[in-house]
Amino acid sequence: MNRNNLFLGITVIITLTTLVAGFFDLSIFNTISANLVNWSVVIGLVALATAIISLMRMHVKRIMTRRREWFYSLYFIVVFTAVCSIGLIYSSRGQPFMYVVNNILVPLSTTIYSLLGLWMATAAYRAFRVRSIDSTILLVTGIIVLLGSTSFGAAISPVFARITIFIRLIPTTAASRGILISGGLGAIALGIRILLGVERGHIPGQSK
Amino acid sequence: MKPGLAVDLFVLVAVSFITIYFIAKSHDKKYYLRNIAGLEAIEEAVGRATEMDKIVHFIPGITGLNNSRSAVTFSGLEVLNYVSRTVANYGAKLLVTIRNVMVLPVAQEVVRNAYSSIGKINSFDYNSVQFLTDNQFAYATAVRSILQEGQVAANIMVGSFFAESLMITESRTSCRGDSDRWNYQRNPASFFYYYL
Repeated sequence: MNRNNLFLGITVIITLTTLVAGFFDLSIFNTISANLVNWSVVIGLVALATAIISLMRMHVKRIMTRRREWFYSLYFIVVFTAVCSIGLIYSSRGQPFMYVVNNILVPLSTTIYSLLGLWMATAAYRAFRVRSIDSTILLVTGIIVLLGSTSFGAAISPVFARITIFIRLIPTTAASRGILISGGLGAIALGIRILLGVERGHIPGQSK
Repeated sequence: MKPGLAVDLFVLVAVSFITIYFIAKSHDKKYYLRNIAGLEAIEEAVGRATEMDKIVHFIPGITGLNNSRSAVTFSGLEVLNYVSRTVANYGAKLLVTIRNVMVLPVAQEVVRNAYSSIGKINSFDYNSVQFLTDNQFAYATAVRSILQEGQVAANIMVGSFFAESLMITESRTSCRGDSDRWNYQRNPASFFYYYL
């Protein structure tokens, strides 16, 4: 067996083992499947180390070559080293580390997340511009759902709320489930194609 | 068999057989497969990036390889293979940014294989596949920064995305690049293709 088929063989064996463990109550397969899940955690940690090395290498290179805005790379390395040191010294559940997370990371993430409202507004503006029949339907539906979901719409007429519930329960659910089922079938088809070796771009040493 | 999974197993086996049948029949001219406009536009976008001497940016989704969305990530990686070969063919520059650490080595291998398959392995640079951060919004901010630097001519996103996709694609209005996005999301369930 050459190297290429070896990787494909490992993929097939692991996939079938996990599948059998998912559908049948056989203790040996369940044990193997649980071990495989544990391995994925370990592999994830090794991958994290690789990713950090790759990231540091890139930023050090940026600093060494004095590329444009290199000082951001320096800033990254300083912050990364400081936070890592706090985590290593006081543990990731210690008071100082949690202080950093709760007072720096969480507020920053919340700020960025709250900016989504702005981008949603600009995206909605472009989507709702009346340029065709489709965009007109989208605009009218959007306005009805907006009115039906707010107290302002309810104050005008209770019909908006009823139409909104109908839109959410019938057309939206039907379309969503249709897409969901097609996505699931597509996922199975992709899995089969990977197992048959039709899709093998991710397997080391393969070429199309 | 575990209770309540009989229908699931039946669907899995049925779909598997149908897929195998169509793979076997795929060389016949009898069946027509509808072209996806977004995939066809990739070559044009890469060509334009080459002419402008700018970067083609690719994101294979932000989820990993060991969860319910892994199939979508694998789809993104397969498209990455195609994009990498096109980029290598044209002699353009590629930048793949990664959010999930598990995807990083696989994406590096996919790009390396693509360059190798057309005999341009010397042009491959491991730094062209770059992990940014594991935090969703920090990742989106980093990608926005890359797009707004003005060095990216085409932005291709294929995979599983959440709220950050809006942040990233909205930045293309200021960077004036191309944004090809073809993604599948489960919650809220939507499959949408976006091309500007």
